[in-house]
This record gives sequence, C-alpha cells and structure tokens, in this order.
Amino acid sequence: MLTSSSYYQAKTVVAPLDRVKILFQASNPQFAKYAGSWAGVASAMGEIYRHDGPRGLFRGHSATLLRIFPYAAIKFLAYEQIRSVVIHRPEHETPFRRLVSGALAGVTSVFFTYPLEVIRVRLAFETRSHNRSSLRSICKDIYFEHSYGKPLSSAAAQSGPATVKNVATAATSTVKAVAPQSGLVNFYRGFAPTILGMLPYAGMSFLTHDTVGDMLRHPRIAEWTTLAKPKNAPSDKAAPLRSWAELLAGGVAGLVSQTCSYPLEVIRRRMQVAGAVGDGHRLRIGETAKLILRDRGPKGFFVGLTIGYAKVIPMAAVSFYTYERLKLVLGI
Amino acid sequence: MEVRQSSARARGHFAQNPAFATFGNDISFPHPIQFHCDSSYPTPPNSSEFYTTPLSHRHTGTLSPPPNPRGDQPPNLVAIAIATVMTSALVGHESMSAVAKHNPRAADDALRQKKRSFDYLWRSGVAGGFAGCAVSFPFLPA
Repeated sequence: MLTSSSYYQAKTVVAPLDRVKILFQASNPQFAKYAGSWAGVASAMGEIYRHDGPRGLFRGHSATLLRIFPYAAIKFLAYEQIRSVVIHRPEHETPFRRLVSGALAGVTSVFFTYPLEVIRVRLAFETRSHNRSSLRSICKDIYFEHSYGKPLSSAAAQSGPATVKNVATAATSTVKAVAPQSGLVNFYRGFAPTILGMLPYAGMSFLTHDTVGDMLRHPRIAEWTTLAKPKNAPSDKAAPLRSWAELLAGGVAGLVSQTCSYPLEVIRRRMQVAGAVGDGHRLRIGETAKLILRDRGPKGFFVGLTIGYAKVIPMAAVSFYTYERLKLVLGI
Repeated sequence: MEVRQSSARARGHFAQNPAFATFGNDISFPHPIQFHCDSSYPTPPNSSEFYTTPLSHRHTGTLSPPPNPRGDQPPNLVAIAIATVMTSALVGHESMSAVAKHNPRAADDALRQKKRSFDYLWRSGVAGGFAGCAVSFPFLPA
C-alpha cells in the first residue's frame, strides 16, 4: 500500500489530469483545440493555471473525494442487504441470484452518489472565471436550470474548425434532449448509460468474487487457502481466506467484471464522440455496436482492454481484500 | 465414521439452539455409548446433573465404540453398528427430529435477522467505505 504522503503526491499529479480529461471528454469549446496530444494536455493545464491559478487545476476534486466513501459504503452495504433478501436459504446460493444481488447493489450505490458525480463533472467543466462556482452555487445552478445549451454552443459553433462545431452542436442537442426540466432530475443527467454499464460490472464483480472464494475454500485446498475461523463466528459463516487468496479472488473478480462490461464502455465512449467523427448524427446503442462490429469485428469491443485491466484488477483486489478484513475487524 | 459425523451434526444443532445454550459449543459427554435402555446402566459420574439433562440431549454424547482392550485391533464393528442404529433411532425421537429439522432454518433466520440489524448495517457500510478509499487512493484517477 502507498503511504499517505505518496497518496497525496499521486493525487496532486492525477487531479489536474482529471480535470483536463473531463474538459476534453465533455468537449469544452475553450479546450477542444488542445485535445488529442500530451502537449495539448500541458497547454490546457497552462491555460487553466493562468486563468484560475493553482486552485483551478483542482476544481471538482472536492466532490470526487466526497463521493468515494459513500459510493463504496453503499455498494457493499447494499450488497449484504440485498443478498440477505435474494439469497435467504443456502439452496438459493446460485450464480444468477448472486449476479442480480451484485447488479442491484451497484445500481443502488450509483443512484445515491450520482448527483455528486454530476456536480464534480460540472465543477470541472465550468470555465467561467468571473463566476465564483462554489459547490453550493453550482448545486443551485444545476437545480434551477431549464436549458443548458447556449453558453456551450454559441461561441464555438460560430468560430473554430468543423469538428469543434460538430461537437458543440451534438453536445447541445444531447443536453437539450436529456434535460428539459428543472429540479432534482437535473442531477441525474447521463444516468441511464452509467447504470447500463454498472449492471454487468457490479453483478459480475460480486458473483466472481463469491464464486472464486467458494472454489478457494474447497475442502481439498482449504488447508492452504483459508485462515482459522475467528472465535464466536457463526457456524455457517465461511472461513476467511488468506491474504493472497482473498487478493486473488478480488483480482479475478476485477478481470471478469471489466471484461464483461467493457463492450458497453466502448459503445458508450463511441457514442459520446459520435458528434466529432462521421456525419455527426446521434447513434443509438444498437447502431453503434453494428458500426464497431463492421469496422473492426468482435475485437473492436475490447480495444484497450489491457489498459483497463491494469487499473481494475489491482483496484478490485485491494477493495475486496480491505472489505473482507475490515469485516473481520468489525466483527461481522 | 458416519456415527461420529451425525453426532457431530446433532451437537452442532444443539449448540445453536438457545434451549441448549448452556452447553455452549464444547459439549463433551463423559459417557460414551450409555443408553437408557440398557438395564445394566452404570450410574454416571454426576448423576443428579445427568438426570436433569433434557432426555433428547442425553443421547448426543460421543458415540465412539467402547475402548478396545487390545488396542491394535480394528474397531469393534458390532458396537459401531449398534451405535448407528441407536443414533438414528434417537434422531427419530420427536424433539430431536424437530430440532434437526427446524434448526437450520432457524439458524438462517437468525443470521438474516442479524444482517438486517442496524449494527450490521453501519459496520458493513464503514468497512465498504474504507475499502473504497483504499482503492481510490493509489489507483482511481477517474
């Protein structure tokens, strides 16, 4: 594990990159010209620094930090609760029920923490320096706004290269279509695709972790993979896995869940940039999938998967490991 | 072997049953294969305690075969057979079978109740939250 000082170093480097990534992903008209190269990233950071000072590089970071704890807390808490309802007898311990429990837990967690994600992206996306965009004022803005298109499109649509125009128009029309009214609904923009990706991810993650855990607890190898049960543990509670076994179960869970949800992620990214490539019209999920299949074959759905593995496998391993160990510490 | 397993299972059920909670998990009976139907029943070491024990419980003692005078011989198969028969007869005993039949479900229910408690809720939440923080630190740029 990283020490706290190296954590802060890591975050200091990563947070500004995050902000620039969001500006690029959401096709901010001021920053679209920098997209596509590492030199562009540096120039974008330089511009942010000149306009807003060092704080500008960390805009939206507070919401990220705020979101981490409740997101994971609700995900695991919901999994235990949903599990106890869906799987209330040993004979119900089937892969399908585990998949459903995990998927529902993921959805629950995203549902409760999604507004923070929207706030974070909005904070990071906001570039108007004259407007003090604090957490509170941005919440107010999001809540009360009816239409969000104008400031986005007007400047870019008139000047700038054709791709930027396309991006701005596509973004505007998407936003208009998705968010016609004001209220709490505004905090759930882009919720549907996020949920769609979360269902297979969380479902397969919990299912794989539990299944691999069961396999590792097989009586023949239990001697080498499990620790002694703690005192006072309920008799039908499985013995805790050794560290390496728990990390393995979590890592395999990360691998499988990432593989299963990756095609959807590729489709989502492709749809997000659909305005910038091709003729600029909005594509549906099915259309996008067909396009990918036609262009690159089935392999096309897994482009960049190894990069995803590098992030998700250690993440899932550490996450499940920490969770299981903390459960032991807390006596549940 | 089978005898040992079934008796162990029966003891497991008793250990979970609040009615027999006084016995805890370490039920070890000092009288192997001593059944009440035996006319030449020797008095147990602490007879008053023994006879206040619930009837159905009395028979869940270790059903190992009697000590073999010639230690190198294989275990007395007849003794094992008798013990097996007796155990299955005892499991057929009304209260015994009730416990055996209903206890797994009761244990499930108890576990489910425990999982639904507020205590479990916040503990799993805290564990999950910190698990999230642990991964977010080094790996999660997004």
